[in-house]
Amino acid sequence: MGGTADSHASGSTTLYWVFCVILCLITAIEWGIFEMREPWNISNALLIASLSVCSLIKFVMVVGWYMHLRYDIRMLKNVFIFSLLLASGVFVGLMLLMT
Amino acid sequence: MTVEAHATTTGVDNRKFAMWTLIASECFLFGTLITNYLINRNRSVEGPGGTDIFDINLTTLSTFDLLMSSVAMVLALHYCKERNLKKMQTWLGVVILGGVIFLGFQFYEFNHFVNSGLSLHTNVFGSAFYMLTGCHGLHVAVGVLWMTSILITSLKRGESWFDSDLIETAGLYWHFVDVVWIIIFTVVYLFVYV
Repeated sequence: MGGTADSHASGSTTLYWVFCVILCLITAIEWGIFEMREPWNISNALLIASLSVCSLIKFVMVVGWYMHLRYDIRMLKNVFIFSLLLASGVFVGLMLLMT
Repeated sequence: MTVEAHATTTGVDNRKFAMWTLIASECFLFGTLITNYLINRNRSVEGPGGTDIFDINLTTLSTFDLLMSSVAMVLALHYCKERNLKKMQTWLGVVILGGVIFLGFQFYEFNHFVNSGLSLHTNVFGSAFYMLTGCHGLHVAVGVLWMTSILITSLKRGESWFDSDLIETAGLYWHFVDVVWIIIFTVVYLFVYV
């Protein structure tokens, strides 16, 4: 069961630990950016952009590798990506309407 | 015995497919709650806001904790597939511990906020904030209960029980809860001065 996700999951644990370190490093970078926003006079636009990129990288790493979606069958990818796109559409629509 | 795979027309375990459809619907739930928070966070007439009460250091620690529990989850699944009972149970225990610590952080944070004058009905910021983070915390609590039930089942049945599909399904739920927190940490806490 689980298609190629199974064969991936039964490999070495090294990759999971490497990803763990990277995820923690990115979180530390996010915290650093937040703390240094005033000393370094970081603009709001740059703050939003940099933190969003960090968050997006973490999101992709967890969904792609820890949830094995990268190695899973296309149907599961479609279910998740389609719902994510729809939810993003609702988000953009509501933000445009309400703000 | 190992739990046998059941008949399926999708090519994946039915529980796993069901979990992905649940996750798809949860995208809407949390998407709407996050949108609600972003729309209303600066519309309060009175009472404290995020800039007055958030402790980013504490929240960063709880984020590390949840990330660690995600690693523990993926290791539990790994050792289940390798039929290594002790290591699987150990990592499941770490997942549960990580979840409990996270809930402890959240309880401390909520308690601190309430003492600082921010409750669910103080202002629209409080309402949106508690709805979003409280809903996430509830998901973590459900995850902890689920992992605990799996660990107890494993302890009772020992070597005769290796249901990797169930652990994978529970893992999907746990990782999704982690993913939601990754977004909440950025959007709610780190964007507080934006």
